[in-house]
Amino acid sequence: MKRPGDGDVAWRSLRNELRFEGRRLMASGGRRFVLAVALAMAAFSAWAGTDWRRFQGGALDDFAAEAARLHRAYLADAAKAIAERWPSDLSSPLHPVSSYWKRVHVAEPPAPGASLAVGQSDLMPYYAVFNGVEDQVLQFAAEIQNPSHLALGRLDLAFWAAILLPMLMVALAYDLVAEERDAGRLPLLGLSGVGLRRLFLARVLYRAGALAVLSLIGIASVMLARDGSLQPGGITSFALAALLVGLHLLLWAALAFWVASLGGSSSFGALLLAGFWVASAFVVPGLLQTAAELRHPTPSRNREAIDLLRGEATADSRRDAALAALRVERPELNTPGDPARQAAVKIEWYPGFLAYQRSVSRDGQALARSFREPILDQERLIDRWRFLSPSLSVSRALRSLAGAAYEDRARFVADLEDFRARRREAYLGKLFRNEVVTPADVEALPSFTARPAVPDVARALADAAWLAGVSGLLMLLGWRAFRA
Amino acid sequence: MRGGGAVLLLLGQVALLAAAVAVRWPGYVEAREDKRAAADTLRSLWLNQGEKGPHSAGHLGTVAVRPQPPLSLLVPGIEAYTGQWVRLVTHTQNEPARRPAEDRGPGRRFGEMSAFFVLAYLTPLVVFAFGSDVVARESSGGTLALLLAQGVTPARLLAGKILGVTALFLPQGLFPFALAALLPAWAPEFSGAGQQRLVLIGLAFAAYLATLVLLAIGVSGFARSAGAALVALLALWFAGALVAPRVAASVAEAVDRAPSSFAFRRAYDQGLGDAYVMGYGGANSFTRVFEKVQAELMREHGVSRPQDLPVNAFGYALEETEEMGQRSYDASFGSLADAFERQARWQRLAAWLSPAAALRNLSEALAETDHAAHLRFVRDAEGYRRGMMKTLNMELAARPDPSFDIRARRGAPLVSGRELWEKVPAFAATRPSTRRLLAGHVQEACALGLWLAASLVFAGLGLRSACARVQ
Repeated sequence: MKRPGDGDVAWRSLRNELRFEGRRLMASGGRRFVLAVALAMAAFSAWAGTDWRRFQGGALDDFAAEAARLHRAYLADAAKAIAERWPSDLSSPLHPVSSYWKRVHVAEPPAPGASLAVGQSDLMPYYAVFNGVEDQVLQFAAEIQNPSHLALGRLDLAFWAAILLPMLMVALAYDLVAEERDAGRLPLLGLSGVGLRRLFLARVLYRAGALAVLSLIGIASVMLARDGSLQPGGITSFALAALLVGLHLLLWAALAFWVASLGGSSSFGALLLAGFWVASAFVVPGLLQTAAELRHPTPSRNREAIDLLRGEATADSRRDAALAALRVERPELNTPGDPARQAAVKIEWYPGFLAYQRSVSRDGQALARSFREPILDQERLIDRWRFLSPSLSVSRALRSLAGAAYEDRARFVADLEDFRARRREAYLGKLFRNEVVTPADVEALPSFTARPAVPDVARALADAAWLAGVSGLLMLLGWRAFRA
Repeated sequence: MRGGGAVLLLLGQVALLAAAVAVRWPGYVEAREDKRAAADTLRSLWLNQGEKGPHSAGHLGTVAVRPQPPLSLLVPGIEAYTGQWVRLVTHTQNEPARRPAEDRGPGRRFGEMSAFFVLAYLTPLVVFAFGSDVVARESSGGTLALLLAQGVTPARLLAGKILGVTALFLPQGLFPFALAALLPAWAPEFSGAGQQRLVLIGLAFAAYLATLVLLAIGVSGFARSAGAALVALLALWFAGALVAPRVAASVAEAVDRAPSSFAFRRAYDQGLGDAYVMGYGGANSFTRVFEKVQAELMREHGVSRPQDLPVNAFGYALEETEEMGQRSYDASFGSLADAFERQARWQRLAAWLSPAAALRNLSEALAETDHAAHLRFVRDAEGYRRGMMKTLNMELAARPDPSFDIRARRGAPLVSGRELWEKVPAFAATRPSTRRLLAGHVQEACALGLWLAASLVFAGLGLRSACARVQ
């Protein structure tokens, strides 16, 4: 029977126990080492993310400066050509073909939470340079990275939170009960009035809290010192990331509590927790990825090389066919411009060339889609099953918040293709009518606006709810099954 | 861990190894056949391109496809992160395109399921799970004291432990050798050098496995409990397999940063532009190059009019621009390759910190799935491109064209056919000898040897410490 004042006694005892737990953590060399590693790893992974973001930022600054310089130079040339009345041949910047060949720079700046995860942004393009001639060549220009490093993957915050952090939690909590049992202290703890279940649950949460606080210190100090990325746009991303990482840690603490409740030896606890970790970090994601690739295979890239070459080998016939098709499709383009000027240039060749580029580009886009769609299907499939592995769920959520998921990069490439098609279309009329391109026309050309990666709050909250639910369930199971 | 659980775990490991090979086999065969078929089709396209100007043929060019390394079946290395074919055209050197990783989701970066991944990264976990209690349990359970009282020496005890634990892992240890014996019957590319390299990978893995067993015995000897030993061993694995290589990569990038793709291309373009400026009076124009080459040829042949030249200056001018491009490319790609080489030194250093890193570097080198193999393909393809363009340009150079006018972009239609296309041989990638492959990785072999020796000493010390505690 519960006596008056029992609750106060239990609470005071629990508070004393937790105060003592702090001292116990610092007294153990092994646990001190684990906490130090947590601090160092968290700081290092934050540094790696900010380092990549800085690299991206530097590359984009160079890129933007070069784009602005070339654009200014072009406008100056165009103004000169107008003032000096240059003939409208290929050497004139006012000729539609010369203007069309001008290099166009397109970039997608990193998302506000980019430091959270490098994701696919070191593998897929986040900026591109293209022109009418190098239509195919520059389409997929990606960042130059050491392939050995790409294969290893980055030690960024996503890797730290999804893979490393659970292992550190395991190291802190694998012998939660066994340690006390081996030392013969369990009977004494039983007399404390706290209740062993409550005591060990409080202990494991305390250790998870210590890990979380130290990690937060490591990450925040590096982020604020190097990145300053806690800007308004990034606050939502970082807050959601902190929630997810905290809940992931809670899940592993709850798992450790449940394993401890089974009453095995420290070796049993370590083995079981390590097994869960291997399954969550490697086995389940690996199997899901393999299953997704088998379910949605991508076509052969070697066939693509052959198709590309075949297409170019038959360029002349394709150009004529493409031009004929375009004339049917866009009859308004058949109205010629100034007859004298038309006679002065090979009117059929330039529109033919552009029609051919348009046709090649359409093929290229279809080909790119034939690769992109299966991969997006794979990603959707893995997304549906991501809850099978907490590590997978957290890493995908962080990549998504960082704007570094495959979908983000695929969206950029798709937007880029769309922009190029619109730009090409804008030149067609000028070419067919053999009109000059004025600086005003250049300014009025379609411009590229990157769609910023918006943090998917609903998705992150679904992940958070799942992590919280599983944590609660494990704690409940541990609470009911607790055997000291 | 004892009894049925142990047998189940070991059988599971062997099944996982077999599954890792079986799962990759269809993909390997498909890639191999696909690349062979692509190479044949590309060759056929080149030979049957019909009659056209040699320079037009140079603009169309061809594609060099990287042959699938046989041992990529077992050791995928960095294959997925390197371009698998290069477009070879006149005037410019392209980078290898189409990295298979671009056509995959990010999940692959957790670790490619392969025999190497199971052997190098999952086997240690099983070894540590078995080995962590091999001394600690006997020490805490009192069996160790009993053995010592019966006169068993620590050295005999160590030998017994090594034999006992190693015997458990014989199936994994023998797996590469079994593959070396069996695979040639299924696919001939695994015989000869392939078989020899597989045996060498097997030997490196045997040394790695022995190191793991000895480390487990040593840690188990020093630890107060089996659980503590297991956690210490997991921490070692964690640091060696997961953290050290990534930290080394990040530090390498911070110290020796390679240029961004954009900066690299700009430097290349600038280098090429500078070559035109320095050599041809500031005009970035083929016309200037042509006129200079033509004037030199006229001097050389002692003629006063271009029409009297016994050779075609256009072919020589094209070759001159090729060489200018090559110099610029060699400079920019050379500096990039140097930056990557400096970064690779950090990975080689990681081999001294982690036997997994040493095993990875050695295995990838032997399987030809490392960065050096990728660079060899890049060099082979570029060497082939240069030879191809020289053949085409010299064909033009040997056919004088008195009507050629560079300013009017006019000349006689000089076309060639299959006879010329056949002068360009089919692309063939070089296959270095095993000795050459190993020559660049003496450091890793030494590191693996040192790890083995040091862990033997460590195991002895651990066992002595456990004996001292119970005596």
